[in-house]
Amino acid sequence: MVHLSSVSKRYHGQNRVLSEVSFNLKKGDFLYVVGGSGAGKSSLLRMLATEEFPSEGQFSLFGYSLASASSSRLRTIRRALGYVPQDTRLISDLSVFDNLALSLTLAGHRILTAQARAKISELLNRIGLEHKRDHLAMTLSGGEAQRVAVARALVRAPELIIADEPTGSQDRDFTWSLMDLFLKANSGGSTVVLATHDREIVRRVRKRCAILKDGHISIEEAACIY
Amino acid sequence: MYLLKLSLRPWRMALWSQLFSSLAVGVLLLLVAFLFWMQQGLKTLITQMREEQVMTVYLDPSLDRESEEKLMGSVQALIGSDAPLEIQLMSAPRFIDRLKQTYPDLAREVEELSQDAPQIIPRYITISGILPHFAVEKIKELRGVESVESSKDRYHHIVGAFSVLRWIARVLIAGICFALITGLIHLSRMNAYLHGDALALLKLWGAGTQTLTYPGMISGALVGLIGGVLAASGWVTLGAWLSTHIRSISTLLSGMPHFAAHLAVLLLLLGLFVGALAGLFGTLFAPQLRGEKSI
Repeated sequence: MVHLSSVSKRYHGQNRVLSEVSFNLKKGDFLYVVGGSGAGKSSLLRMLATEEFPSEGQFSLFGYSLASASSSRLRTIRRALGYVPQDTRLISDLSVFDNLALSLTLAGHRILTAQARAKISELLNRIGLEHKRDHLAMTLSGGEAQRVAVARALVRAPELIIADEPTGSQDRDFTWSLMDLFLKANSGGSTVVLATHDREIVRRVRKRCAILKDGHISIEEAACIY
Repeated sequence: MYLLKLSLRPWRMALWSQLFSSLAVGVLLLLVAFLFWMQQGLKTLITQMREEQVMTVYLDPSLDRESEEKLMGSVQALIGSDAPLEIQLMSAPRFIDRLKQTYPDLAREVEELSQDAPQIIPRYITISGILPHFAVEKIKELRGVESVESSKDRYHHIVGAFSVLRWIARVLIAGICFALITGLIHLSRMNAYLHGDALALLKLWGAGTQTLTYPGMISGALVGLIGGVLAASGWVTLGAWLSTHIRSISTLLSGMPHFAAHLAVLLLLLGLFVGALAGLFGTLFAPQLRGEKSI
């Protein structure tokens, strides 16, 4: 599903942010991406989300090389992704419900059925924001916006979930609520790539782990200690 | 629905820019309407001046009286019987009769002289109306015609001046339309910056170019539509007065067309179309949409 081979990334001819990164992910895999600030976690996740492209190396998603993918293929790939960016990027002048509904619409659900609406409501309930469904995104706190961003990614039932520090602004209860959502999606067949600083999450939910340091990656197949 | 909400973002974030742009679109469209009406009106006047003429066909003195009617028939056939014409043969007896009404003594003298020299009484055919451009030359070639005079050349300079005015009006229309579309494209590009974050996000979620251009197109169409409504209202309010005023300036201009109410509807549709088109291009050229692989 995800294949990276000797992938490097540099910005404007500067030093490499990512250097010779290689790994593979299959359907249903769960991968933590850990590392200190500036290690290259966000760059790697932006690349996985097709927001950026490698400077060198080979990168393919769902069996298609991103370097040679046509525009329509790229759109199809993007519709199968659920991306939670670190800065949430909600559409500020749409309501919480509309942010989720728009994400769902673009994933292929042209008409918002009662079932789709129920799914959105259920997700909003799970993240404790059903009562704010009609509030504009710009009125949410940082933590609330982060939860909506997670719900927005999960509502499209994506094949690949990429989440960049999705629990960074949450209290313990919501951290585990969100983790529960990711694990549920993972058990439903979605592949999850989750960048985190939270050692407790990594320790308690044991999964495969990619440790980034100065742009270099090392994969821990079992327990992740960093 | 979400895209419609997004398209209204510039109206929330930069209301005055949208309103003043709409006003500018309205004023420019109104100018286009006036210039269009003017150049269409001038076209009518030029056609009238070019085609409507009074022609005097002088008959050859050697032509016998029996052949006059025959020549008259030939002239009529040449011009075409369908043309709206006034055609009259001024024969020698009719000429003397008409002269008698105003100058009886002169008429008597001419009549006496004509006993010896019948050629001193002019005989001619007068034709007035819209005549084909070849009429003068063709009539000249007819047997029994001495010479032909036409009023056509009298309007030559005015026709030239009006033709220049028509060209100026056309150039101005083209210039205004160019300025209108350029201004609207720049507004749409500015609006695309206001939409920037949303467009980038929609693109990342797999939205196609068509979807990405909707907010800009709707937003541009709205500016164009409001401009069109302003221009249409202006035309309905001022158009009738303006056309009446211009028609009353001189008899020559009285041939200008009356106020055309249907232009108001055209202005409205033109505003909508130009706005949507500029919105489409403005968004297509926005940095957020340039290249599928850049977000």
